[in-house]
Amino acid sequence: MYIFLIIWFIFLFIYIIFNIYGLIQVLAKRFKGDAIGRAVLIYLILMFVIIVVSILAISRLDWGKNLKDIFKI
Amino acid sequence: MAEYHFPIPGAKDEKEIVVFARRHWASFLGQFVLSFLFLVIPIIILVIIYVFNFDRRIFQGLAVNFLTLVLSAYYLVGITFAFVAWMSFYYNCYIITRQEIVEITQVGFFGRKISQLSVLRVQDVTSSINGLLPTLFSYGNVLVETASEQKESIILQSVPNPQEISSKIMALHDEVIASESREQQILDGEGTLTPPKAPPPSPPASPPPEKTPEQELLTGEKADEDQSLEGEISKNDLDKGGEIEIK
Repeated sequence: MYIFLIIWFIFLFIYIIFNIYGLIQVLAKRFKGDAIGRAVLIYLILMFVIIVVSILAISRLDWGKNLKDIFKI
Repeated sequence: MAEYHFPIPGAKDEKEIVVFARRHWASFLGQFVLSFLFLVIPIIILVIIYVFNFDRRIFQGLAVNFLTLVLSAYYLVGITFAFVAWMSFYYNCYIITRQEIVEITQVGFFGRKISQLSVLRVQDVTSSINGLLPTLFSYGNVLVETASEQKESIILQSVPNPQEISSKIMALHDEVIASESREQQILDGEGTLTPPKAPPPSPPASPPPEKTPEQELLTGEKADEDQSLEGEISKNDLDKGGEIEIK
């Protein structure tokens, strides 16, 4: 099952890089006094919450089992 | 902050903005509902499975591990889509100043298209409200066409009070024309009939001078040459013989 975990971390890494670059581009093209600052803040908080909850859940789960045990009770 | 060569809200030349319009929020109602469902549907499915005891194996074993990773990626992608959709709504705007009409279109994170059109070149402005939601919330499209040969146009999509915006554009157009004193040129260009100008006074006619017989003969021959039409053979040419040059 570690393979899924590795794939997820690679996805997370690419996702964060994409977002950092995207947000830099957005902030560079903003209008003065627009609401994009607040929107970016809310977006970052939501992203942070999802990542933290995911990592907490992942850390509590057992990842050493074989892939065959995926539906094992 | 990016440098824009037209007035934007919050800038020093903000006073020059006559109309600043975004798409009406009701035009994004479908997208808002879709994004909301996109975020809520997995939770609803899991609750249904749990409450109605369909197959609880999904909450046991390694399936939970797999589900955690998939849901995490799903929600991360989901909020990015929602944020990009909101940004497209927020940055799709139209700025009308006394000189030009500016259309800003945001496409995703990285794309921004800015179209500018001079108010002076505006020829036709058409506003339309079609459908139930636009009628209820009073929003619609404004089509601005130019007088150029390529018929360039800008469509102000789903803007609130389209009739008001179209009449403002035409008022600005008339204002610019009046300020540049180009009314006569525009009327001439459109082919509008203007009263004919009076011809300049001609000098008093004097009797033609008397001609000698030789001069009369020469002028008669010249008149014959002039009368010959293109491609036709004149009498004089026939008398000459040989090749005849047809012009």
